[in-house]
Order: sequence, then structure tokens, then C-alpha cells
Amino acid sequence: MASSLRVGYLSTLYHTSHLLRQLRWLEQDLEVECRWQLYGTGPEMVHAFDGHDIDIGYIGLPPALIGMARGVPLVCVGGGHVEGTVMVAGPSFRSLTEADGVRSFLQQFRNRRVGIPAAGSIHDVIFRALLMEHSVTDVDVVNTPWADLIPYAFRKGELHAAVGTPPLALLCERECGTRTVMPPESLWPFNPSYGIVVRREMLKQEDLIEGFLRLHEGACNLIRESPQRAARCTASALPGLDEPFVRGVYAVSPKYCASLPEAYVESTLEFLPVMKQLGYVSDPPRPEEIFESTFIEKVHPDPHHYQAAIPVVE
Amino acid sequence: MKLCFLSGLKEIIGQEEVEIEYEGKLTDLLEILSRKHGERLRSLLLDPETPGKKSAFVKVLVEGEDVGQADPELSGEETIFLFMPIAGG
Repeated sequence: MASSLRVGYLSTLYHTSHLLRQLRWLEQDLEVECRWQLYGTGPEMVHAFDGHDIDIGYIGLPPALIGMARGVPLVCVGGGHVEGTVMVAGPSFRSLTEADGVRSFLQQFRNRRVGIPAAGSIHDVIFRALLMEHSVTDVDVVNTPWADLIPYAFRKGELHAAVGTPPLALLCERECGTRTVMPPESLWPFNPSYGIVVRREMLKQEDLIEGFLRLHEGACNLIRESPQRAARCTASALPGLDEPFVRGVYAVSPKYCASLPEAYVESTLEFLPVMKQLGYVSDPPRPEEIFESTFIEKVHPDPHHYQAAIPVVE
Repeated sequence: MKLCFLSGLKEIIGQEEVEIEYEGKLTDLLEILSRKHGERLRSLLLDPETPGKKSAFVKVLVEGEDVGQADPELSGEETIFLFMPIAGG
């Protein structure tokens, strides 16, 4: 087994990276030395994969698909979470349920600025696809290299709405008085908010990938079955965070599992024609090039848990 | 120089934006801020194991560019964002 592993991760609090880092399961169980590298967005991580800076990463599938289409040798070996994109806006905007349909909902953002993580991130692709599907133009999408800049821009009056992760939605709510206007399940059912992606040459290291996925699955179970303990652990890994905030993040879209069920794969494949239309890929990867599910099928042979509720913590 | 403190830091500083006069190394600026605002801020900005090194947790953008683990020389004209990344990718 390899003696070191370079792992790319995002600051998204419900990714198991934060738990694995803090609990040191990889070091203890697999006896590998891990070098963790934080990235602002998925597209930035793809760039790092391309530069051989990392071996394995926690990433939304759309940026990984863009990388594959451009010749970066990536393959998805595990899931992690689905439906991790939320839209928030100031109180003067109607929510989807208050508006007269999706088109009417989106039209209220014409000539308004919507903050979203980098172009090609899952949030960016989902929102642009929605605008395209409903023929809504003149919405000013403002992409940012770090989602943490979005609440600041909100307070400055530079943004009217934002699309991003549950932690971003909670930050905007807490700091800017926004509210959720489009919940995760309304944007794109079963969208693959993150999965475990490796450089193709890693596939030869079967024990390492299988071992990583086993621990990742264990951490997904921890979030789902013991959210309070998982939140405490994640909060202690990241200075400046508190446990209730992490628990709040877990509860926004409680759909955590390491498996790659058909619904996850199908939802991912539905991105391909849309991303081609949006100009993000010209020659999309073939479905069989995107996933290698052999490892996760060994680790997680049972039905998926993406729709299993997490316990409410008092 | 304009310093913008975002998630995780502005609560300690007590304000989101601060204008200061400063020329020199980034890590020396982080040291000055830590002395002024106390040990809690120091633990977030500076690596406790290596004196004078930026913490791996804090993200610093100088004129929009992520400085990573570099220690750039600042001219005093920059806008600098400092934050603990928690908003996801």
C-alpha cells in the first residue's frame, strides 16, 4: 500500500474530509501519511488534479466531468452526498412556492446579481441550466473564487441572491438576513453534490481505494447516525466554528451515503448534455469512463442511504 | 491598506473592515493583529508550531489572489481579505 496520499478537499462542512482529517482514521487504519490540500471550488481542484498535485479529491461531479472532457484522467469511485445546492435571497424576493411557477420565480432575478462559486462548479452549472431551461435571460451571475466572499458582497449591496452550499445558505441567513427561496430538492433531484474522485492511475492501488472508501462510508454513517458527535468533531477541526452551526448545515439536505446507486449515476449523466449546451464541455466523457464502482460495491453492497433521515438532535 | 475580516474572524476583530497604514511582510502584519486582538486571533492566524508562519486554516486573499503559504511583501495599497473558509466550494 502507498505510504502517502494527497487529498484535495473543500470547506463544505458535511464532506467526510473534515471528519477523516480530525479523527486520523486514514493514518491509523491504512497507515498512510495524508497531505490534505484545501481548495476554494471544484474547478480549482480539477486544476490541481491536472497538475498531479493531488491523488484523490472530494468534488462535485460537474467540475470533474469538465476535467475528464479535457483529458484529465479522473474517475469517480464513490458517492458522498446528493442535493447540496441551495438558493437564498433577500426578503423582498418571492420563494419558489410563493411564485407562480419556476419561470416566474427566476424572472424576478432579471437585471439582478446572483453570487455563485466558480464557473463550472456544480452550483453554477445547476443555476445556469435552470435559466436556460426556462429561457430566462439577463440574470447577472457573479462567480466568486471562494464562497465565503458572497456574504460580504451581500452586505455591500453587490448581490441580490446567492446559489451555493448549505453552509453558505446558513451563513447568508445568519449574517445577511436572507432566506432560502429554492430548497435543494427543487433545483436538481439527486444531483451529485460530491463524490470521491481519483486520478486513474490510483485504480491500481486497490487496497488503498477500498480502504479509503470504507473509512469514508464509516464517516458518512457517523454524520447520519450520530450527527451531534460528527458535528462536534467537525467543529473542533475548524477554528471559528461551533457545533450547532455544523448540525444546522447537516440538517439542510440530510442525504449522506458513500454508495453510487443508479439514481446518482443517472443524475450525473443528465448533466452532460446540459453542460455541452452551456459550453462547458465539447466532447463529453462516455458514461463508462466516469465511474468505477467496483470498489464501492464491495464496501457498500446494500441499498443506498441517501434518503435515510438523520435523527433530530435536541 | 484595507483589511476585510470575514467568517470566523470579524467576530473577534469586532468589525468587518479596517483601514490601516502598513508596509512589510504579511506574516508580520498577522503578528501585529494577533498582539492587538489577543490569543484567540493568534491561534487562528499563526501556526502554533512554527513561529512566524501563517496558519494553514486561515485564507488570505491579497488583491483577490490567494497567497497560499507564501509571505508576500505588502506595499500598503492593497485590499486584503482574511477568513476561515467554511462556506463550501
